[in-house]
Amino acid sequence: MRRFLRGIAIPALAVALWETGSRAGVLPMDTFSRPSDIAVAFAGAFADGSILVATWQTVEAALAGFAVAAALGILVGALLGLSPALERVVGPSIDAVRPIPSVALMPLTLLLFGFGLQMEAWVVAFACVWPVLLVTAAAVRGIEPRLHDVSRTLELPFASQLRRIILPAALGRIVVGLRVSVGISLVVAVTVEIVINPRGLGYGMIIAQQSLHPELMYAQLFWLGLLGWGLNVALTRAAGRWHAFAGADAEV
Amino acid sequence: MHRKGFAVLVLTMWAALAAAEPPKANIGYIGAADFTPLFVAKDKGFFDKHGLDATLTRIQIAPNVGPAVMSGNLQIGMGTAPNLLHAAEGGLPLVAIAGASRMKKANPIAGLVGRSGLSIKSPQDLRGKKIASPGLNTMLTDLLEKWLYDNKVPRDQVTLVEVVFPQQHDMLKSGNVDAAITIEPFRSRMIGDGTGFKIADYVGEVNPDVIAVLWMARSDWAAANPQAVRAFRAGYADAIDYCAKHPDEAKQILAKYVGFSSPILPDYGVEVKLSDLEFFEKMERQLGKLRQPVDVKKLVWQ
Amino acid sequence: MRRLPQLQWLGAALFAAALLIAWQLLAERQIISPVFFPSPSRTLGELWRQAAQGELWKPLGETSLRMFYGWALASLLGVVLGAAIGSSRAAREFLGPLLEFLRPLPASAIIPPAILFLGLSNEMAVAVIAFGAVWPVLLASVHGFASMEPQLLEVSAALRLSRAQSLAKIAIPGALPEILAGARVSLAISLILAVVTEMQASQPGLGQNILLAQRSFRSPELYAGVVTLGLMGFLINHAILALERRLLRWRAAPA
Repeated sequence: MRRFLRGIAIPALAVALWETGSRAGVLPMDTFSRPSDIAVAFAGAFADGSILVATWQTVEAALAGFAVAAALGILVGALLGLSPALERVVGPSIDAVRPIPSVALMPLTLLLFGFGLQMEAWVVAFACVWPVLLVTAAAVRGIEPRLHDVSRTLELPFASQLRRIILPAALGRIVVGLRVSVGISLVVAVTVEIVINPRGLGYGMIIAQQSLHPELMYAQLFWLGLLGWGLNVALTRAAGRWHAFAGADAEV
Repeated sequence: MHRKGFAVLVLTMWAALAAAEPPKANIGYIGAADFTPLFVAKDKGFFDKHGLDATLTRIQIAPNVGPAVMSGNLQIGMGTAPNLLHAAEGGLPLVAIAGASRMKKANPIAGLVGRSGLSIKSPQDLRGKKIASPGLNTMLTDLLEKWLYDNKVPRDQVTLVEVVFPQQHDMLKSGNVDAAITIEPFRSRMIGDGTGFKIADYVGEVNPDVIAVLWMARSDWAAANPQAVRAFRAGYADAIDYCAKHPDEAKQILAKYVGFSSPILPDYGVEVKLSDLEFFEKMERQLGKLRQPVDVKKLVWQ
Repeated sequence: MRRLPQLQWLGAALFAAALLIAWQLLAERQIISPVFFPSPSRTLGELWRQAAQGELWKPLGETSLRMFYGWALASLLGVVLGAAIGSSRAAREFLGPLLEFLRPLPASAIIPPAILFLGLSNEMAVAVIAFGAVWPVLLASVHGFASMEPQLLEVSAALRLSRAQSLAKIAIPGALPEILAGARVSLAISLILAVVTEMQASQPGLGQNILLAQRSFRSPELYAGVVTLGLMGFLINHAILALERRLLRWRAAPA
């Protein structure tokens, strides 16, 4: 209970200040709206189901992109972490492609896939693969060398080595990379929707803003924050469970 | 023989059904009053009446419409003359199939609004000022640049920043910008609550009667679907008449689609005149925004 | 047996060249209209033109500066908050949920209120960049500080170091490898956010040039800007790696 109260202390204070600020006319209404109006709009969006449809569209794209990015990132990252030579050949090209902002890729993906889920998922995948890749490579590289010796002595096939020794040893740090990546997936999905894809929460937010309903926009933004927080909690719990499971394995 | 007769019957029915099925078009618009006849045509069934199965899609911002039309997501999309010209310069096969709205001196929808308290009486007073633009290198902003040019105000002495219409009011009030290029209903709101005052209806000064927004399509789609294009034009024209006769209902339908209504509606027109495109072509070249001349005759659907 | 470093550089260059050739072939097949997808030759030609005519340097400088300030602010905030949260349960309870809630908010949504608080200025852009880029450093810091080797904590207690000394001499160096990895990711995000804020909040720079090129259907300019960003990212990343290697030399020393 104490933890819960402490957790909402600062946000509650901020909301109170916001409400009094806009009622006093200090904060401009067009851009800021008011917490009480936002709460009403929030309830309304649930009542007519519009926010649930939009949520599913956004989450679908974010998770699809994240799944591709996680798989690719862990695989390629592990390979790069295990082979310094490979990293030196491929690394510079990765470093050159990595900073390309996903915004620049949107017209291209639009032309390839058109409006809809695929285009958004690919942009998300591109944005999310790099943190996973980098962190995995660093984590694998930093594994206690003796573990490599052990795995080689056991003469396990590569896939087994990866799954039973290398990845569990690097897991703590890989999970940090995955958490960053999941956060990015949601942000990028919403950004694609704000900029170009007419579906999902981002689209809803920008249309609300253009229709002069900032309270609806903030309601959706608040919901987005809750979603991200929820996703993160779910991921941390799942990773914790697997870590405990894999940890018991690796102790052998 | 039974089988042959049966086959002929099936084929005839299939052909009849195919012919009877109305052509489809996904039409892209943005949240503005220029498209009221579009909404009216859809709601009142004018498109259906002329045989067009129309779906309307709201697009976040105007620059997205061109690529969406090119990729086939939209068959018909809103655009302005500068859009069309830049597309042509870039080699994109887009044509104007109809007009949407016009800007007439007697009914100014767009204009320049300044923050109350500032003294801006002539174009020269804009030197050193920061002006909010709904989009750099878009039509209304290019027209302002032309107005500044005609009034001999050096372009580099005026700063233009991008601020979308809904946020211009707050940006003006807070002093982040000194003036704003704006349209109805945002303009009335800014002037109405004392935040701003009218500097100039500059569009009318540059051109008293010119096309504002038009409807674009890929030239290959338009060539393959003349029936759809004719149906679209006819439906839109009927809707324009309806808006003239029932302005209050038109405003209600507008609010339903874009979320807000406007006290003043723009002038609408379904024709795209060559003189409109010629005017913009000359202007864009003069401002240095078009690097080569463009043959405007090819840009209008015949 | 160690391969010659020159050979590896050659390998890297060949790999990059192979990618460029693949791009050229794709562009020539014209799967996507050349208006939207230019070939490397047109792109690099445009880039050369911009560099030669001096059009490239000012926007490049503006974007770089914005990115660095945002990243520096993000790193500082990340380490400070991370140290607080990683080592203090009270801080974790007060700030944890709030931060988790703020993390998924996209910069595009933060920009309008940021403009009203900080004006349509570079400071606003830097603040937005820092907001978006703080998370990798923050998460890495929290993890690094919270999972410090127990022996180091014992040493710190045995030496009776003050909180500040313990932080400076033991905690930060201990968490440094993770923090630096996080900082590298953060830098990548800072560059992207610098570009996004330029596009959305009308700040001059490479991002704005890319946006205007996109709108006018001038794809060689668009991709030239993208290539510039890629090169920038590449050079900066290597600078950071060199820095990382120097700072962590004591760590990698053979046993």
